[in-house]
Amino acid sequence: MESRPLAQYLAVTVAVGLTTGAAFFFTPVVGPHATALVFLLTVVLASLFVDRGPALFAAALSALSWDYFFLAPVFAFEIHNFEDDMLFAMYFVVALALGQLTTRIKRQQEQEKERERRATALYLLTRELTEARTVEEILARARAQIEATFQMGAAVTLHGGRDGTARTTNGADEKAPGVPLFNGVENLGEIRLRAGGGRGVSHAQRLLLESFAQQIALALDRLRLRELSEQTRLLMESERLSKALLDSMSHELRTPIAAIKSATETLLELRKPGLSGLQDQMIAEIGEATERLDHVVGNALELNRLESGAVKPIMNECDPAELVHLCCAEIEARLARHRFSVKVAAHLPIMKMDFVLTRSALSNLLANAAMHTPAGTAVEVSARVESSQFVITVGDRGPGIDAQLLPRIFGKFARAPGAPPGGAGLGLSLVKGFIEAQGGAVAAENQAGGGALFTIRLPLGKEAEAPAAARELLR
Amino acid sequence: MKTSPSERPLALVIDDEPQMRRLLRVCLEMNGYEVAEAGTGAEGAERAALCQPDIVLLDLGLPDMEGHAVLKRLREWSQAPVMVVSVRQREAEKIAALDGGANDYITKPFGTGELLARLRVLQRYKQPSGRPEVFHSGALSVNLAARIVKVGGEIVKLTATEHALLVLFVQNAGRVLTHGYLLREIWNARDPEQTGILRVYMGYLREKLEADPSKPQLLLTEPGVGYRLAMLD
Repeated sequence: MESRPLAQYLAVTVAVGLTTGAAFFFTPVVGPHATALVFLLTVVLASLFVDRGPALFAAALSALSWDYFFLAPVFAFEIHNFEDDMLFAMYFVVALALGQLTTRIKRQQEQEKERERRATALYLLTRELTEARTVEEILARARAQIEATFQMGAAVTLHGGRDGTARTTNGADEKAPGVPLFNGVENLGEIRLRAGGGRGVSHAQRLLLESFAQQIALALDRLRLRELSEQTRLLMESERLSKALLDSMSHELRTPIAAIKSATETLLELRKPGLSGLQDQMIAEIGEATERLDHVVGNALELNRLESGAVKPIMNECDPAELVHLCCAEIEARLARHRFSVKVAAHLPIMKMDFVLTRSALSNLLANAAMHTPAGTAVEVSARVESSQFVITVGDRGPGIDAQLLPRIFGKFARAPGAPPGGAGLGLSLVKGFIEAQGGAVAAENQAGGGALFTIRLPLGKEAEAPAAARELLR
Repeated sequence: MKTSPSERPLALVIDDEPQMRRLLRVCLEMNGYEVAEAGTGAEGAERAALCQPDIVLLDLGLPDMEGHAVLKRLREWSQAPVMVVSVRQREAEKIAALDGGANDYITKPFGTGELLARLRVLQRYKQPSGRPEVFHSGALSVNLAARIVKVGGEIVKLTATEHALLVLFVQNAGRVLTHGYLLREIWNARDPEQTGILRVYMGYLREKLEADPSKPQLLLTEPGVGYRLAMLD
C-alpha cells in the first residue's frame, strides 16, 4: 500500500494486461459486453490497493483496451454504432467513479488506522506513565515511547524545577522542533525530536506529539500531587506521634516531680524541733529546685504543644477586668517589695477570648517583671480599650531590654546577657504564641524613662458590649 | 459508712504509680486518714464497693481504663466524694471530670497542704449535719431558710438571680462549679460557651459581697473551669 507510485502504475498495467489476455479466451463465448464487466471488476479490485492516480490510469487503460481488443471493429479505436459509443462512454464514467469511490474509502480506512495507531500509542504512553513512580522514570518512559512511536531520537527536558536544575533524558538537539509540556497552568518542560534521516514531522505526527506532551505534563502533575499528599500524611502522622509523646512525656516528667514535691512537703511536716537549721535549709532547697523544675518542664511542654499546633484557643465570653485582677493577685506576693500598681479602666466590655491562654501570657509577663527588676522599682499594669482592641501593658523601671536582644525578645531561648538564672528563655515565646493563637499581638519596647514595656493586644470582636448594656438586657 | 472500727475516715487511693500511692499513704495517714490502695481502675471500683471509702483519690491515667470511666462506674452507686489527682492540666479534662461527678480536681505536682485542705472541704460537704441553716465564710453569712445574706453583719440586698447563684455556691461550698453547670442550673442555658452572662453576674455578686471586688476572697475564679466559693473561717 505504501509502495512507490511507479510500482503501482506498473502493477495496474500488469493487472489490466492479464485481464486482456484472459478476455481473449472468454470473449468469443460471452460477447464483448460481458467482458466490459470483467474489466470493471479488475478496476474495482485494483483501486482497492492503489492510490487515486494509478486507479484512474487503470480505468482509462482498461476502457481503451476493451475498445481496442474486443469492441467491433477489433484492433481499432473506432466505434461504429451508437450503442457501443454509449457503452464505451458509460464504461469510462463508471470506471472513473468506482476508482474514485474506492480510493476514498481506502483513504478513510487509512485515516481510521492512523487514528487507531495514535490512540494505541497514547494508550501505551499513558500506561507506561501510570506505572512510573519518580520524575526520572516518567521522563525515561516517555522518551522510550516517543522514540518507539515516531521512529526517531527524542529528548524530554524539564525546565528548572524545584531544585533549579534542568533535568533531561538526553542531550537535547537545539535545532529540532520542541513541543511544550503544558499542564494547563504552567510550562513544565518540552519534548524535542531529533529528526534524523532527513525526514520531517508531519502534521498528524505533530498533533500526536502534542497529545503526548499533554499526557506527560499530566503525569508529572499527578506525581507532584501524590508526593504532596504523602507529605501531608507524614505530617499528620508525625503530629499524632508528637502528641502521644508529649502526653507520655508530660506524665513521665510530672509524676516524679510530684513525688519529690509531695515527699519534701511531708518531710517539712515531719520536721522535729531538734532538726538543725542546715537540714531545714536543705529541705527548702529541694523544694525550691522542684518548683523550678516543674516550671521549666511545664513551659517546655506548653511550647511544644504550641509548636505542634495542639493549642486550640477556646474563645469564651470573659470579663477582662476579672482576668487582670486575677493575675495581679496571684503575682502580688512575688512583687511585694516592688512598687506594684494596677490600673484597670472602668466598664471594660465582656469580650471573647481564651481566658486560660491570656492568663498564662499575662502571668508570664508579670513573672518576668518580678524576675528582671530590682526590689523597690515600680511595676505598672494597665488594662484599657483602645481602637476596638483590649490592651494590657506591663511596664517596669528595671534595666530595660538590651538593644541587640529587643528584635528577638519573643524568640525561643532569648535571654538577656547577665539575666538572673532561673528561666530557659521560653516564657516570652509562650506569651507570643498564646496571644497570637487568639488573633492578638504582642510588642516589647524600652520606655522613655528607662525600663521595659510589654503590650498585649486582643481584638474585641463584634460581640463585645458594655457591661451597662448587658445589665439592661439581663434585668 | 465506715468499715474501720476507728473514727478515722477511710480514703481510697486509685493510682497506678506505686510511689505516688506510698507517698499519699504516708501523707494521709499522718493527717488522720485510713488508707486503702488500688493500682488499676477495675481494682479501684472493686475496692470502693468492698470497703465503702469516705473519700476517693482518683488518678485519670490508669493502665486498664480511663479515670473518667472509673468515675462513671463509681457514680452509678456511690455518692462518696471523689478528688481527681492527675498530671493532666488541661481545663477540658477538669471540666469533664467535674461534670462527670468528681467533687474536686487537683493537678500533680500538688502541695500536700492544699490537698489536705481540699479533702477537709469535701469531708465537711459530705456530712449533711455539716451544713447548718446559716452558712458562714469569712465576713459572709447566708441564712438559706430566711433568705438573708449578710456581710460583716450588714444585710445585703440581692436580686432573685444573684440570690439563686449564691445559694448554689453555698450548697456546694468549697467545690468548683463549672461554667456549664452554673449556666444550666441558673439560666437553663444549653451552650456552655455563653459565659458572658455568668461573668456579669459574678461581677455583681463580687461587688456586693467582697471587701475588694478586684481581689476576691470568697468567690474565686478557677481559670477556664468555673468558680468556687471559698470556705473561710
